Formats: sequence, C-alpha cells, structure tokens
Amino acid sequence: MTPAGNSLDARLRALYAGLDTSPGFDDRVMARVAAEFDAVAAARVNRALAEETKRYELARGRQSWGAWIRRVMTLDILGAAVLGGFALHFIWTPLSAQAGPLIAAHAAQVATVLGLLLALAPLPVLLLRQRIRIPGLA
Amino acid sequence: MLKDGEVIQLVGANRRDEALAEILRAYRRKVFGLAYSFVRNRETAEDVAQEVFIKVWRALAAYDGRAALSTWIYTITRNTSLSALRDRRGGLQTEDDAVLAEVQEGDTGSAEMAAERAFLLRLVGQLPDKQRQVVLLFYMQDQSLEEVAAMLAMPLGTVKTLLHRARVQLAAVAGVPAT
Repeated sequence: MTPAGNSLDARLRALYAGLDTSPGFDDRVMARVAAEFDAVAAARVNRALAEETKRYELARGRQSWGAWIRRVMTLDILGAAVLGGFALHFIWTPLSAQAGPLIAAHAAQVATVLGLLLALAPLPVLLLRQRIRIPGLA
Repeated sequence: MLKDGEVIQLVGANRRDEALAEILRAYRRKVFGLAYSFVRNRETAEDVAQEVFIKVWRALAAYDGRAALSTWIYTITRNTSLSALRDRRGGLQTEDDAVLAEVQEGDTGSAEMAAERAFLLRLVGQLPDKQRQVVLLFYMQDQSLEEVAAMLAMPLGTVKTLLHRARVQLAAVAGVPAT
C-alpha cells in the first residue's frame, strides 16, 4: 500500500507530518486536571462544613428543657423575675377588690377557659419537637 | 508503547496523574488527529482533545481494563468531537488552509512546492468525509490500517476501500501514480 518513493504517499505524508497540538498542550491539560482536583476537594470540604453546621444547629435545638432552664437561669433573670412578682402583687392587691366579684360571677366560664388552655398547652410543644426530630440524631 | 496494564497499575497505586501523563504521551497526537478529522478546525480540535483527556482522567479510577484503553479513548474522542460539531454547527469554520500555512512554517521548500501542497490539501478537503478522515489519519503519523480502523470504529475492509478510493481519486486529479 505504501511503497517507498511513491510520489502521492510522500506528498500526503509531508502534508500532515507537522499537524500537532500547539506547544504546552500537555501542561495545559495537567493544569486543568489540577484545578478540577482542587475544585472537587474544595466542594467536598464545603459540603462537610455545611453538614457539620446543620448537625450542630439540630443538636442545639434538641437540647433538653432542663439544660435550657439552667442556661437562662442567671442571677439577672432571677432578679427580674422576683421584681416582676412584687410588681404583680402590688398591682393586683388594689384591683382584686373590684375583680373579685366579677370573677365570682363568671367563675364557671373562667374555669372552663383555664382548663382548656392547660389541656392544649403541651400540643404546640409536641409539634415543635416532632418537627426538629431528624432520624440518625435521636 | 503504553500498555493497558501499566495504566491500571498506576491508577491502583493512586497515581492517576502519572497515568494521565503517560496516556498523554502515547495518545496526544492520535486524539488530536482524530478530533481534527471530525471538526476540521485546529482550535476546536485542541479543545476537544483537552476535554477528552479530562474525561479520561475523571473516569480512570473506574477503568478496569475490560476494554482496550485505545478503544475507550477513541470512543470518547469520537463522541466529544461529534458533540462539539453539534454545539458549534453554523459557527464552526474549517481551516485546512490555515493549518497548511502552519505546517509549512519553517519549510525551506520553494513557493512552487508550497502551492502544490496547498493544491493537494484542497483536493483532500474535497473528498467525502469518511475518505478524508481515513487519508488524514493514515498519513498523519503513519498509522497502520488497523489503527485507523480502530480510531474510526470501522471494519478494516471498509478502511482499505476508503483509502484506495481516495488515493485513486487524488492521483487522478493530481496527475501522479496512485500506487
């Protein structure tokens, strides 16, 4: 098919002999590979960070009421609560004389409303707890 | 000649970059030539070749040697080339003349020889696509017919026929003996 000295073969071979990629092609490919490797690694780190942050937020949200109370029961809060109690006491004492007969007149309705409120109070807490419960973290 | 087993060994030893460097050495020109035979534009062919090697690098970890490395690489090259052709249809200009000018850079031959080569290049450019591809790949780096058949995923007999027809046609127009 390609005997030596064949004119057409020689010309065609000469025609395409120099056809090649431009200089530095291999380096450009390796640089792209390195860049892609870095991008993949960075994406992996970001994903791990995002997952860790999410896990931390969930864990914080699932802390017990006891821990929450211990965290908020500072001396300042206790002082404010005592002050609030005294303030209520001093406001309620003069009002109770007027409010007493009113409450006595509507005792049945007041008792029913209070009973309903007490019965329904745990419901929003249960709903909130179910929403933040994630499998694998329980 | 790069052996498939060496590539698998390098990948197995977590030396994927070294494996790619070896593949680049062995296949750079073949991949570029095959891509060029499809897109007929140097810049696009280089883009395609780069894309091919990036794809090879990404998939190397999964390469288990069941298919020959060359078959795998040529398949990626053909698909990426066809994809580039589809993406750039209308905006793609072939530039065989520009390539010729580059090929002739540093050529100390006469102006007459240069004109003759340009003439021959245009003749090749006018061949039907498959014939043109076979001619380019066969003469680009003295590929064997088997290698050209593998690159284009054609039966060996078809490649022989295409090359024969192209040579006869070129010889007739150029006024030189075909064999």
